[in-house]
Amino acid sequence: MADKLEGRVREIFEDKLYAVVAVPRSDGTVQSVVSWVDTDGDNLTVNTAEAHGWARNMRRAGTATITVMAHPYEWVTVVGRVESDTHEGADEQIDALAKKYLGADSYPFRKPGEQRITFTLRPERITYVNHRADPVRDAVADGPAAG
Amino acid sequence: MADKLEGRAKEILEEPHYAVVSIPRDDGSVQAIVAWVHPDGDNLAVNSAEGRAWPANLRRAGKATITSMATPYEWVSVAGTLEDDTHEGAEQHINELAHKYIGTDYPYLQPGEQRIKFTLRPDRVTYVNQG
Repeated sequence: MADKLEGRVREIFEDKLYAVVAVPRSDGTVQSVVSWVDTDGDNLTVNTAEAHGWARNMRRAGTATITVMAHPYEWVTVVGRVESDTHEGADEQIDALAKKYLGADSYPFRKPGEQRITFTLRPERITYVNHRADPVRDAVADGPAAG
Repeated sequence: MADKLEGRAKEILEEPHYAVVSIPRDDGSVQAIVAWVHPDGDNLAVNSAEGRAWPANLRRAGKATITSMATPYEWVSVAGTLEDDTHEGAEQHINELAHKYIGTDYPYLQPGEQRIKFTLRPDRVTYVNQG
């Protein structure tokens, strides 16, 4: 368990892999959505729009867990604390994410009047799992891909 | 929003896509792990082993959210309540999951390992298709 994005973990977040963002709801359940993700080096960033429920949830909870699979047997999950939440630069950031994921120069799904938000999450707990080398041995570790 | 597994939402969970299982921790954060999943009638079933952290957490929380992508633009997320937690049939169940995902009996069983089958009842099914 680490709290720094480095090595393979950082590479996985720099790669154009889709993330599952899990946010606690106030009723004790977990909301989970698929999202683009990026890193500014130390933190993870995600981008959403004011109209989306998970933005409100993330503000209230102040925490989210972001999981990315490089492969079913190699994945990383980061528990993050919401460090900042801003409209400033959020349009540019969604364009940068569209470039990363789609190769597009600007975000093609923008809706008229949509207010984008950038959430920055500081990693508090990083779990990196890699069973690609030795799935049998690693299957006894916590939280394995193989069940 | 539905509370029944049907249509594409159910099909995605029948297909061999890996799932992210998200479980509330008692400190307010969320634990997420990657797992195999399959519908069990109207419910969803996952399988783990005694001695790991996430089954203990799932028992404590009594709920989890299971998310699976057919593609990045077509995915399903199911918030469920823990309905059943049993050792009975759990080895057979992990073998069924292994057949679904890797085409063989479960090859990673450790000596003395006690498998657990968890069944979750869907409370909230979200199906997203952004085409």
